[in-house]
Amino acid sequence: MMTVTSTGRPLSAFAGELLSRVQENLIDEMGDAGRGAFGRVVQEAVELAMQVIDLGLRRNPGAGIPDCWCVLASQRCACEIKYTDDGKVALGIRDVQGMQLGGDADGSRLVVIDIQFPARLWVLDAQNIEPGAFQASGHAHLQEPDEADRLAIQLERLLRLADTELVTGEADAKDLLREVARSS
Amino acid sequence: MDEIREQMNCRLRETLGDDTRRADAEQLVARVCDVLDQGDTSAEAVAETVREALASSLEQAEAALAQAEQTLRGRA
Amino acid sequence: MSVVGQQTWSLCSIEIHGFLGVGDDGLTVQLDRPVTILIGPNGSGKSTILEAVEWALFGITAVGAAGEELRTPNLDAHRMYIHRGSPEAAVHLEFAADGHALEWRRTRRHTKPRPGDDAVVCNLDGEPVVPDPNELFGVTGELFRRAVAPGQGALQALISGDKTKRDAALDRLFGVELLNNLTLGLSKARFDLESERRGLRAKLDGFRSGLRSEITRRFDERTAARSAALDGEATAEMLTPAAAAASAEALGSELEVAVETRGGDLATLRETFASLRTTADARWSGTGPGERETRLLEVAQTATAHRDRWQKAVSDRLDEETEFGSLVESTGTEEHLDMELGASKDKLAQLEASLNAMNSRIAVLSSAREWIAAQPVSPEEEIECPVCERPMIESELAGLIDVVLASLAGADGEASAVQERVEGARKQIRELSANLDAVSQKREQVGTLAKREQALATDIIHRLRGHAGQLPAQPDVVEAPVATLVKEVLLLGASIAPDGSSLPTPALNDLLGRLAVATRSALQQTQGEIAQTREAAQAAREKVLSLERTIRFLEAEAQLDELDSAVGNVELATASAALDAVDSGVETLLAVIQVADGVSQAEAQARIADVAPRLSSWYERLSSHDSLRGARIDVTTRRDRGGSRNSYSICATSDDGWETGAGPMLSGGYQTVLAVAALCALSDDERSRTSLGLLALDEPTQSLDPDMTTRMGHAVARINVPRLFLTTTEETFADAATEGAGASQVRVIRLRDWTAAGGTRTEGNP
Repeated sequence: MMTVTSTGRPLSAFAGELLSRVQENLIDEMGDAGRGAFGRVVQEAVELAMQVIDLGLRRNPGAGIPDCWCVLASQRCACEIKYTDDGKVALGIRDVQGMQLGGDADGSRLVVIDIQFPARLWVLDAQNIEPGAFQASGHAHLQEPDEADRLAIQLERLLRLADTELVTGEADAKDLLREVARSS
Repeated sequence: MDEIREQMNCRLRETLGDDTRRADAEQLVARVCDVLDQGDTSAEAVAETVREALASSLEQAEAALAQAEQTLRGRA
Repeated sequence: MSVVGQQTWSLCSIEIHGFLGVGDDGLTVQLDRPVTILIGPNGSGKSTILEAVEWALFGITAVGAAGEELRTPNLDAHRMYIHRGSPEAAVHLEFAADGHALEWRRTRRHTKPRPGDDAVVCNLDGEPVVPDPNELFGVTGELFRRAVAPGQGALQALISGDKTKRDAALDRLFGVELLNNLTLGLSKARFDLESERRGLRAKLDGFRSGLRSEITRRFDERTAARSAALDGEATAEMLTPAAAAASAEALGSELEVAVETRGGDLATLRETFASLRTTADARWSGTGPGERETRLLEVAQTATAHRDRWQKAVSDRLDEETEFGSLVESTGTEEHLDMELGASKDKLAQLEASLNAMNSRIAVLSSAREWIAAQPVSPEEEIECPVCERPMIESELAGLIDVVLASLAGADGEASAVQERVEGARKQIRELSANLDAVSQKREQVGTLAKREQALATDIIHRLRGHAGQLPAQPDVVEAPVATLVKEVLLLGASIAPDGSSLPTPALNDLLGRLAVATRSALQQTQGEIAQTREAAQAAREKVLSLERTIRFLEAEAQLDELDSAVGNVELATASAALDAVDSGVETLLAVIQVADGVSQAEAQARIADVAPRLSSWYERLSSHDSLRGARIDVTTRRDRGGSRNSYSICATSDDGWETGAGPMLSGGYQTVLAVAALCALSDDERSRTSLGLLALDEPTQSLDPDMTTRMGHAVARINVPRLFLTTTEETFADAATEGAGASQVRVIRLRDWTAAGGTRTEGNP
């Protein structure tokens, strides 16, 4: 049982290591562009995990803001999904606007996957977050621990189903995630 | 010291602006200036005051690491 | 500052008891005139009186040891102000300002020497007020030391050959020492914190890296185990404990082994796998048909290979018998040959006897002829025949002997014919012997072969008897025909006589032939069954191996999952968060350090800007140099060992731009002049912000020649301050100051030599 702490909800050893390998592989294949590709794979995984929790999840594909609308607990939230490998996330003005003015949502959430060892997941109440360099660990008071735990469980399950086959190109990785999500 | 305190806070406003560190920096300046006001103007007194300000985090880290070491050793 | 503190207070009286060098009898110094000059030899206590004022107001003095000891619990450091042997130290000050009177008294007891325990009384116009020098006079201890009573040390430092000392003194005098200490303290804290932080972070990183490398290793093992499992028959869906348990149960049914799975508990699965594997291996290595196969192979061996050997022996024997028959037919039987051989030998004996007789006769006649020939007789003479002993004519006798010899020994003679007949008889004997031998040998050969044939047949029977013992009592349908035929053979075998003479060769051969056919058929069937069983066992074995690979994967996965608790270790996370907070704190500290440096530098520059014009003015008043008429002061700030360090340059300047600061280029006297000018310039501005109208210069005439001493005295005496307090050892200075200020404005107090008994005393005091 992973205990959520002020440093986020730790991901399992398997999930953290797998994500790290997926990123490494994409960077090996694509250079710096691999980071962007990994971010998109992570977004896909998180959205699919969220969809298990909320079947009514609505995505905003492409460059839409926010990334999706989802009910992780009791209210519909505009969600922005980010990943980092050094603890810091760059939040643009549009990111923040997307979360805070996100359509008919009652709340806003910033989901951060930090794959720096040990990998952690945050689900943060983003109502008052400012744009700029954002360090999740410095905003532990914004953590929604139950939502983070619920999301982490589904994400870990999805990663377990995809397993090491996920270490592949971006398109194949996303296809695999969709396939295991569909068939599970 | 009031003048120095004000000068430092003014410069902090200029350099840090709305950075979240500004509040912490102003707090640190206040603590240090209070100690200087109380009469102990030595460098060591200032160093001690600053160490105290961050002591709790260091102590927390140290205690947590000691505990973690025991736990991880027990697991091994 | 209080309302009353708006005017300038003049120090009027200093009364000292039991303080430092002043004994219990005490002394009193009246400052009833604008200028008070304390003159006395070195060690007489001049500085003590100044220190008494500082101590009275602040409880401590600028004396190094006392100042530093404040932060220690060392009571002796506070007690040292009390004169040795006195129970207490007391200093009483009186101030006056615009008709108001302020009394200040501090008393420190030997038994309670801490400043906080001192009895401090302050009365303003007879009414008690809070004894706070800052509130009353706008003076802190630090400001007092800078602007009111800089002390001998400050002057000495300003003229010191050590630039560091000079710079430090100016920092104190400018009041930027505090800022320097601030930056130094901040930097020190930063280095300490960073060092500690580095140590803790290294420890945290050590834990993390150890954990990470363990995770990496176990992840790789899991991946390898997964690949191995999937390369076999397993699919990804089967790689779960529940699926593995189901596989184990199915395999158990197939192998007819009871299994325990406990829903996929790994330890149980591992045990179950071990027993399944043993069963599968046993099946694979073969029981049942394997034993039957072995028995049938042995029977087959006997019924074919051994039978073949026996049949070969029979065939050999028959061939030999045929040859024996032919030989007898051509040469006769052994009896016949034996008989003929006997006859031939008899004949030979006769012929040899006859030949021997002839040869004897020939020999006698030949001897007789040789005798005759040897007789010296003529052929017509009579001679006695040596053989018959009759007289005969020699030539007749010789002729007769020759004729007989010719008939006997000649080429066609009888002896020759008999010899031929002897040879012939011998040859015949040889032939007959050979034939006889041949026939005998052949007969013996036939006998040997017959014996061998019998032995082989007996051996077959014996072997089959052994095989019969191995056959099951109730042979199955495959083995039954073989068993039956074996019995028949044994039955037949029982009829064979011990010497093998009644060997029923054809019957036996026939039975053995049928036995070979039956055995071959049974073997074929058995080997087919074995192949089938092996195939099934191999399939089961492969399933077991696949299960093992699945279990190995599940174990590797469990090993990796074991590390979840370490990864989520709360203490590590707490330590990480705490160190992040320390990082943030250090970043904040760096920002504050940067700001403090800036403020320190700006403050030093600002103070310099304030003091510079006054310095030049003071120097002009105090100096009598021909060319160096002006003075300049500059400062540069640099970072040194983490703190801000100001480097000052105070120089005397000439109109043509030449300048000289403290150092060998400027005489000691003018260095003093420059230093005193700096002290006066520095204190001017500071004092103007206080309401304490007092300036004390302690021994401002160091290194001055008499002319400069005089000039200094004249100049200093004109300092515009309500109370000017000067100490000196020089009468010249005192006289010059008196002259400069005017005798009515000056009070000269002479101090006597200090003694242990009397302490510090003024002349006129006992």
